[in-house]
Amino acid sequence: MSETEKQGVPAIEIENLTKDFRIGIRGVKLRAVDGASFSVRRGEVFGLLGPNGSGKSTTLKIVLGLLRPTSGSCRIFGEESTKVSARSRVGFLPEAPYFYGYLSGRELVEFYARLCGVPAEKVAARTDDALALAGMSEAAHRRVRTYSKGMLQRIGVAQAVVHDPDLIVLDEPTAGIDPIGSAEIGDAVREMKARGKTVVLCSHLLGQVEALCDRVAIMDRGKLVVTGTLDEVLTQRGKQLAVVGAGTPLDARLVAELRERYGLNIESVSHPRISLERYFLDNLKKR
Amino acid sequence: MTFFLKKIFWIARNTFTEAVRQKFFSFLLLLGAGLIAVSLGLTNFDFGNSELKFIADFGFGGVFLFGSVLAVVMSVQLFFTEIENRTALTLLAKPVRRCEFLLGKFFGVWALLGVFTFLMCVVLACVLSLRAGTLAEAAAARGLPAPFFSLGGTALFALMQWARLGIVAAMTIAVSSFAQTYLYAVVVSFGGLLVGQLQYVFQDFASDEKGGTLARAVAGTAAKFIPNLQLFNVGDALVLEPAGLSSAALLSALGFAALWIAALLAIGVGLFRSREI
Amino acid sequence: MDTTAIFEFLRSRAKFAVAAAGLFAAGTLTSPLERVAWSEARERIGAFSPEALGSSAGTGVALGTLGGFRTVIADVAWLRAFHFWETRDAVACLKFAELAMTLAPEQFFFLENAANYIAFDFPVWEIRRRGGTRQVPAPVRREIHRKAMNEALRLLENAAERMPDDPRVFVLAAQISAMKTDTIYGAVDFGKTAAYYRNACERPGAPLFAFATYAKFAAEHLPAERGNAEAFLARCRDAAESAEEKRFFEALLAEYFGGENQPPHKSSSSAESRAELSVPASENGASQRTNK
Repeated sequence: MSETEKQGVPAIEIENLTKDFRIGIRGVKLRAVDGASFSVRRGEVFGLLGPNGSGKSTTLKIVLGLLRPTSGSCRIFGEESTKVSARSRVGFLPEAPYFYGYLSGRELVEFYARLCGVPAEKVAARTDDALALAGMSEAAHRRVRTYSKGMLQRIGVAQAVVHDPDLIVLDEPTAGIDPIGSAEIGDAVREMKARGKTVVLCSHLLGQVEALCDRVAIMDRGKLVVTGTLDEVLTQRGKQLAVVGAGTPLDARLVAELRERYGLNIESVSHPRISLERYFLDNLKKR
Repeated sequence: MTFFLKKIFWIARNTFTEAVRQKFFSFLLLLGAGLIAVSLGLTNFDFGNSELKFIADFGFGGVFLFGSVLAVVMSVQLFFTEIENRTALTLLAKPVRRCEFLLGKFFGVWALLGVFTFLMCVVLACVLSLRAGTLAEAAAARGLPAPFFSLGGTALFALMQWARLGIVAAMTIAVSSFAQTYLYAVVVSFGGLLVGQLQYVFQDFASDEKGGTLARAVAGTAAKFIPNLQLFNVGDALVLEPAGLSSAALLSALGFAALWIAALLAIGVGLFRSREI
Repeated sequence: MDTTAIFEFLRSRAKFAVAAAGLFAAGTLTSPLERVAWSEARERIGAFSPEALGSSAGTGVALGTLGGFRTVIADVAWLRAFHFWETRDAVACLKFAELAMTLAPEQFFFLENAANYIAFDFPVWEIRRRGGTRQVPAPVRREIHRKAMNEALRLLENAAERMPDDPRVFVLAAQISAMKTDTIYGAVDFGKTAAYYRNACERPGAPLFAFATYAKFAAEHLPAERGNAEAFLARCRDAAESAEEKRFFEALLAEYFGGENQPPHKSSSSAESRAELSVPASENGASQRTNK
């Protein structure tokens, strides 16, 4: 594949992905992912969403080559995700990471840099960059075990980006941290996007996902429910929304009539958009 | 150095750094060294042994007991616990193969055990030298030969114990590669250690002509599944006996350890590759 | 469970079968190396005693057998044995003495004292337990002593297999045999005792009094053994490494046998007294018992 062709290859391409687990001594089959297909484009911030047990963590693990799919395929920049070389372009922050507590933040990030093959002469500079991006330069000399939850997440972000990967996977990056820490992680994600990186975000904080993601995929009980831009997913095509200077939203025809008859000042008429949280509650609860 | 070896080296170095900074390591080291030092004051409890043997026995026991605890607990702590608390995910999501991760962990733990064994044997050698000097003077005054103690033998003893603890660590890592709980990994590994220490009982039974043919065959086959850890129990010969141990026996024991470590790690890699984490 | 489930179950467990095969292959491949190293290590490992593991002293055996500290645990076990010796509990005393001997089979101290306890103390305790010498008839007392003697000698004979080059085991057996047969039969069984002494004399480093006692018993009480003893002592004289030792054997031959083995010149003191003088106090099997 030529470089030009490679440029057109999605960051992640998942096709008909299925993953079964065998549980218990009798080996009862449990289907965690059931025929999911979607792709993540280069340079976008992609949200993989779903309630607990929906199969999104399993999907992420397959993307990262930590699990082998039962059937279907997963490619990263055109390479099978099970290949070690595919992972050299990926950075990953797991949910609630537990890092080596007796190392300092700097030692930890340097260690990950070396493992990713960062040349020895560049390790220090890359570590500085990653620490700066994650806002951890000040606390880099402290041992990781003394870090707060928010700092742990941020040092996790630093280790995920230290080798300058093209794809960064963040699993619940803001879980259990305060709004300020959460906002800082959000800033880091925007910075990654600005640098042309592809970011896959898995989060329960739907407000943040709405604010950061270009596209989302929503999973439930192992199946992909919907995928698309936030507008595509959240906009209710069957409905319209009139934004009026005052009063109650009304039907368009009625609005026109109201304007003529009562002289109401109607500024725009559009389709209503619900919040991502509303979408979850309305669509996933029913299934 | 290839990238493969570099990755193993960095994981091993990181594992070693993490382990050596833990209080558990310092605690066991101090306890073991303290025990050897204390043995000097306990020689009144000795009945008929030479004083050096009594002291050396504390050292041999300390290296084995605390070394084994360290080998099992640290291997489980640094390998299994990392899988359980997802630290391993951050490594394995990088361009790191599972075999590199497992080998790195083993060599990190083994390096730690090497430091432990070396320091314990340094303390033992100091205490023995100190006491041997005094006893030699007393013996010379009475026209008796000086008690024998070999510094080189102590170094060889350290090497043998390091090899034995390497087998224990490799066994623990192999168990941890498929274990589902911390307790299971620790209990099964200590069980393996126990069976390894008693493997010779199966051998004895298999070679006892008074036993039944079937029972002897079963015992002989069972003995093949477990490394004989008593093979390294040669501290007396190396440290306190002028004849020492033959080079053939020494090299055979070290070769035995190297092969078993390789086999156990290969099994660990095989089981770990198919593990869903 | 249907066939597919069984197949799936077996497939999921196949990796463990492969692992077991790997272990077996490793054991088979390493066995030539193990044989070489084990030939030198085996003799240093104490015999494993499943019976001792099952007893209340099992924890000590387990730790001692498995994890070093053999000497230390053996010493602690001996302290316990001594405690039960003081409280006249023969069963417990013997159990801990056996534990000490299992863990440190090379320590003569444990063997020596255990044999003396069994031979001399246990029968006395047993007779006392039954009401003392006035209550227990002489034949029964003799039977108790005879059993005790046999048990002690069996212990020593087993130990002799373990330490075949140690003359102290046979000297102790000879001393027990001499004293106990005297107690039981009213006369020393010279044949049995002399055989033990002769065995001791054939070991390197045997104390000189063993030669002297053997010579005395053979010359004065065992006509059939006399010729053998004389020839043996003459061989010892010829093989003597020092002039002093040579003179000792010459004196023995002159004292008890005379004739063709007559020494060139007789020593001024008796052979036996010289022999006894040359025995270090620690070689005396009964020395520990005097502490009682």
